[in-house]
Amino acid sequence: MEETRPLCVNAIVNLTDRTVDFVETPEEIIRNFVGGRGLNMYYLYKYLKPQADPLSPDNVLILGTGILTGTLAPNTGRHSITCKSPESGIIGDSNIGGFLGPEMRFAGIDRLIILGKADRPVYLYLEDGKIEIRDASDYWGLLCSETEAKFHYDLGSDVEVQSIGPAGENLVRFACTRYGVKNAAGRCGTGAVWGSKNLKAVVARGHRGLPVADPQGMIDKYIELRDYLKESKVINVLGRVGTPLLYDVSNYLGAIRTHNSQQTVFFDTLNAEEVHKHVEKMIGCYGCVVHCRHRNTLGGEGPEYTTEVLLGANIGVADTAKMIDLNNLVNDLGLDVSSTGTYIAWAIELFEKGYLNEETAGRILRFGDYNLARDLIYDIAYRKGLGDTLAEGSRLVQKFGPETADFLIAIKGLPQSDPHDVRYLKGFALGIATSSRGADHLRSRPTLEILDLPVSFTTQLYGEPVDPNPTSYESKSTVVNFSETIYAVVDCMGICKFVCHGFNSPRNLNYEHFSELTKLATGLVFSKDELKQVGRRVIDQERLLNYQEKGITRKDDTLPARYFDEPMPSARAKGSHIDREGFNKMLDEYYELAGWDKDGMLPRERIEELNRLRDLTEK
Amino acid sequence: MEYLIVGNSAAAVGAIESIRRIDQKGNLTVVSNEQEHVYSRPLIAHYLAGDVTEDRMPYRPEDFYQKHRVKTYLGRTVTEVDSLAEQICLEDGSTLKYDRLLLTTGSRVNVPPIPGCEEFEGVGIFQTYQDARQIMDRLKKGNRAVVIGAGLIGLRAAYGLEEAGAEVTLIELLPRIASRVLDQKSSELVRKSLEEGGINVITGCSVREISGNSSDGVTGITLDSGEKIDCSIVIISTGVAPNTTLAENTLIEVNMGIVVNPFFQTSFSNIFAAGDVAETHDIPRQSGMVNANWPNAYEQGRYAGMCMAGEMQRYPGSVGMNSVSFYKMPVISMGLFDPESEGIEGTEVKVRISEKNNIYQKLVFKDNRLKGAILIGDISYAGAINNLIREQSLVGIIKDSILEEKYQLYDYLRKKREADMEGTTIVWPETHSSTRRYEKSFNEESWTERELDNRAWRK
Amino acid sequence: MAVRQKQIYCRPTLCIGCRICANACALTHEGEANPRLGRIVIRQNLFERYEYQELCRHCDEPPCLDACMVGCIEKDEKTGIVTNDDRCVGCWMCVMVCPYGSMKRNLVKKMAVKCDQCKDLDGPVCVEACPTGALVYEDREDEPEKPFFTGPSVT
Repeated sequence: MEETRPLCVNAIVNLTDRTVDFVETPEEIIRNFVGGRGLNMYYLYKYLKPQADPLSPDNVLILGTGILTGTLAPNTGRHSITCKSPESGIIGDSNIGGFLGPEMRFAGIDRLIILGKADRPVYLYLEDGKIEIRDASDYWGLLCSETEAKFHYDLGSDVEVQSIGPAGENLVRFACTRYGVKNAAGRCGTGAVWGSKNLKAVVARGHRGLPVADPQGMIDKYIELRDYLKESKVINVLGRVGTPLLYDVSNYLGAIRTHNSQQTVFFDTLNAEEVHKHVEKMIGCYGCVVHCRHRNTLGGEGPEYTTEVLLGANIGVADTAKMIDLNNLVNDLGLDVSSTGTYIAWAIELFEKGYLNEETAGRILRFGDYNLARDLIYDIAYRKGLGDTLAEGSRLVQKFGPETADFLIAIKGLPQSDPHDVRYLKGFALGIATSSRGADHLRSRPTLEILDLPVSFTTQLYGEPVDPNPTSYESKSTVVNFSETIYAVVDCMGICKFVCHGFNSPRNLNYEHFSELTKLATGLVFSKDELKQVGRRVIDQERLLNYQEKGITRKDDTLPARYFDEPMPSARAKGSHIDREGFNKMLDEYYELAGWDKDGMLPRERIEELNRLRDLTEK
Repeated sequence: MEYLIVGNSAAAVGAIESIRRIDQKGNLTVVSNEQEHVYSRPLIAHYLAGDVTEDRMPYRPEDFYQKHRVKTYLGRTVTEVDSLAEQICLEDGSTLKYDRLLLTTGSRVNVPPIPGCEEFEGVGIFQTYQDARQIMDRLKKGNRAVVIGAGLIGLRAAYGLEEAGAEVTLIELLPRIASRVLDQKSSELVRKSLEEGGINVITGCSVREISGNSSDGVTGITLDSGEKIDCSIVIISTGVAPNTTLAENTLIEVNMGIVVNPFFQTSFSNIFAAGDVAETHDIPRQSGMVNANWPNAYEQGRYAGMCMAGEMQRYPGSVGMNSVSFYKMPVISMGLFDPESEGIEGTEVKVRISEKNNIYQKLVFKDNRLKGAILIGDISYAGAINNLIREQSLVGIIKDSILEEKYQLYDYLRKKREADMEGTTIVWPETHSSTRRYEKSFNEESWTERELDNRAWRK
Repeated sequence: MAVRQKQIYCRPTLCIGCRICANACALTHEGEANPRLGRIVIRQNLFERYEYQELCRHCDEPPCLDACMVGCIEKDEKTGIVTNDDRCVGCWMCVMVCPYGSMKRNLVKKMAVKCDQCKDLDGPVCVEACPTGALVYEDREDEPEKPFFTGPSVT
């Protein structure tokens, strides 16, 4: 008999020396960081040389599965990819669905910690406890779809492949890594880090079983939770039309980022009904009960709400089919949709404002030009012409002058991912301003307080009464604090946020469910408070890393100047903008709740605690 | 009704089971020259390798004969079939009457005339349980073994011996191993895998002499090249042929094997033959062929039994197929897989090869039908390919989609499954899906429609 | 003289490729999570855009039973369920002949495994676990009463 599988097996792969070491995570660390994003942050803090260049061999690339990934718990197909971001220079962390995470666990490896740089293109092959560093010269240069098809042809159709496209190979600073057609670890330029390490793909095939502490209990629990989740209205709609359902709502409000946030209303052609005419089938990731992925009739998957707006409204493409085509193209090239859309729109505005001209840009840039967008996307991925410039991302602010940052919709160097113009929703604005990886809605997306819920319910939810008025600056910090804590925990679990309590719906999986599921899966018991502390610890850890890498403090927790100074132009949200004073007040409250000082710094004893955990030795 | 079955392996068991399903009353008798309760011949290699213990050798439970009320004559050799008197003679001169006779005598090993091959202890063939036991005993005396002949039996024997801890040399007269069941490329892959596993393979070489003495038995062999190999075990597996001895002095027609019609009747309507001894209709080649392997034997026995009991069901024919695995590398070959060596023209061959990963797949098409296949490494859809060969369906556009596992292959399989399982393609109520169904049947035009439809953007 | 039996049927347009059925099957039969260990396998290719459900249909004349050289595959006369036991040696003969691809290889144990319709439980766990109702367990192909998906509409 083989010995029992440890709870968390980390493989340290040094691409420079071509060595692979296996270490187990001690239980104390698991209790403190659980898994997924939490443990990834722990290991990033442990292995990253401070102030390392993100595209140098010193950067650490971590692929970590959550503690529930691969078990039968609903929607556990996710893992996190963590490194220092080449786009923003602070932490880069991106959560991805699909099937690779579970497959890694079935192959007996819970976390890959990749160091160094290979001297020529390689891919990692994981099978049943073994890791091989194999030559990938046959795959280098291929599109994501071609890469995966070739791997399936060469290795058998049952392998799971996650790869980078030409964008990652060409070190575009916002390249993503991709599983399948659409699943992407998009944010923070993780793909460029893969490319800088000459790592084309991670391929996994696992025949081993993943031990589950109580199999029958897990099946019963799964069925109970599935039935519970399927009653949710939001999940039902997501399963029918996916995230585009939000387009209509935001557009009605007048909060769609249009023409680089110069406007806030766009055409109805991107409504969910229109998009759905191009949908062949809805499909899901591993263990999914939501199935929000569209298989579109134009040969790809998607679009998401994010894509719709950032490659539609934001650059002015109103034709549904053209927008979907851009989506498919970006997916195949391995670019991050949010960043690509934002930078193209920014470039167009730069052109309008005269920072770029026909000579320097090589063409006329204007909103609503599908062919231009298509060409630019190609040029960015292959770093040609203006694309080569744009591929540097938010660093271009230094080139075009600091004033251009005022209309680059980015925070801490990372463009805003959510297509929602946050000038109306103040809580949302605080969320993206304080998010640890830059302007990102998946760190905290507080939208519940405005849903017209009974006061008694929201009071119970947040532990104190909150102001349901979206435009008020009162008690928004409570809401953000609540959201970011549970999202950190859900990322540690390896569960999709769509079934997470508080993301779209006041129901769904909350701390009690996580606690039950971890007990059924691993036998470890976490109380609700422990889980909350884990969430806070992860956020602290990220803050500390950010401070260490780029000196992130209060001055960086801010919004683009456009959000402060320019009122929204149309529809119901007309006239909204963020008031600097109100924003500062929210920030003060936010720091206080987080237990940080006025400048957004961690107290000394927490830093010492994190350092103590970092210095614990492993088996 | 007196049913008499000669032989006691897969085909005999198949026949017993199907006769008893139809006819509960008739008398059933089995005569076999082996002593054992029915066991699985291919398992002896696993037995040797130690994968299988003795108690797992029986093919059917202990009470199989009682349950099916079969009278057994085990360890008795049949010497003659008297088709006019409708009786068979045993070696002790006694006779057994029959109304229906089934010959499932299997195959015998052709032992080449190598000097010394019958003199010494430790030289033997590898066909029966008894042979395997003798080899096991012999292994205690020394662990160097030589296997002469690298056909499938030879490979299995070599693999079993190697797993049992022996140091094995495999000798083949032809330039490559397993030439009957594998083509050039695949036999190279198998050879590589065997050599990596520790088996020494010598090809293009024959054995001049087997040497030994009376006290120790065999001590070594001498190759044509003059090279000497010390060993204490020699297994001769230079090829098998249908064991048609019983039919030879009768009016039963014998070609390669005993010729049977689709109801397994030989030249005499009440004498049937099935299994490795019978020459049946080979589906991919559309001609008579002895397809000796376990699944075919059992299936043929089952059909023959039905025909014997009066439920005449036409046998669709057989496909030669083999499945073995060496050191985690599964190898499957089916049907007409090597048209060049058989001199068959007009075939189209599709190959997928990934040598680093030990994957090799080859499909042979002729006249828009799949005729044969070799699958190594990746055998996940072997059953579907087997079915395509067996049914000789028109492959049309799925011809290009099998190896790359494209949409069309699985769409075909889905429709086939629906037709098989559910009687028809069911139109489920309107769902979210806008996938258009095919109105037409599986002809090529309807496939290409889909091709042109939505996916043109990629190219 | 086929036994009329309840079968697991699939409604392919509802299958989202989540592999929950296979995982639940693996947990039930092996006590470990991994869809590869399940008796039902969803073969999916996102680029070729198919989901194919490999189901055992418990044939009247099972080719796997014919092919098994160990004799470890049996068809129950009363229920019609085809099962195999752990005497399997992993020769993959059954894998070679099953036209539906429903014989699975467990490469860790080196054994073939196949669907037994969860005969010891109330009903097949894959059907129970399927989140979209793509799998049904029924006597004939009755039309489903309540499909999970309805037409696209946002309101």
